[in-house]
Amino acid sequence: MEMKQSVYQILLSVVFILFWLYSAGFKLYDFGAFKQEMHRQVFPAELSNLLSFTVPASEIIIAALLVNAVTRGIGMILSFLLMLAFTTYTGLALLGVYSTTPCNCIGLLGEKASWGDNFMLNLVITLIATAGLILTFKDWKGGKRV
Amino acid sequence: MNIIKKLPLMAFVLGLGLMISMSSFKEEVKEPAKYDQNASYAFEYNGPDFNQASVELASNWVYVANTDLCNGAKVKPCRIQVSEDYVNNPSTSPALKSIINISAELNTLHGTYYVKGLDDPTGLISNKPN
Repeated sequence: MEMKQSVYQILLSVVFILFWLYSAGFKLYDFGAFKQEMHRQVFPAELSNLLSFTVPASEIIIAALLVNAVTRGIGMILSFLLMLAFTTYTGLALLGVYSTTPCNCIGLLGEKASWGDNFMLNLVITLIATAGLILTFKDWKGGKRV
Repeated sequence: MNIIKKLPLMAFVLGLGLMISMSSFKEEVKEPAKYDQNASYAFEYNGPDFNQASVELASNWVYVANTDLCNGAKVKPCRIQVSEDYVNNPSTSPALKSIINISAELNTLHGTYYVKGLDDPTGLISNKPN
């Protein structure tokens, strides 16, 4: 049972390593355009600038944390928190909470996708991250690292 | 189990490899597609002041051939890029159509309005510092 749990945890790590590196690569692929897209969000200019660098950097760092068994738990928690932040942001955009509608160009699905599509994608990935989080806590409770 | 334990490292190396190869193909693939599919026109703000009404008035924006954008600091309007749908006489003397909806927001620190939104879904906004 424990071995099965460990295998699931490793497979989830693989999924998130590929996801975060793809996501970071997508942003860095055309970094100029990504920075422009960040400036079309609801954040102040200084924060948009900061996020243009910190978001892809965080994604690469999280992917690296997921590689090693010792840091995998931290990587899984950070994956969950980052996905939760993305989902909350898209959810609030969908609900029209912001004073102006931000450009929905920032997601992995591109400009053609609606905020609803981005929200659904983020929600599904957050749920997968939740599974990883549960496995991590079970693992820590059992005092075991794979 | 040993192979499974090595999967995360293999995935990381594969992911990094994909990231690097994606960047290598950028110039060849993405840029031409971007310009071929959707010609964009750049307009620079040339209004008398930085009031909301002036910034939101289409006639205060003049066409510029250079499509470079400004640095994005949200203090004063600088340049916008719009698709052909929002441009009059695109092939002769491009001018921003009055139907375009430009929304401006106040920078409370400087008391100037900058461009916050455009109703052109493919449009780009750039503002500049004081």
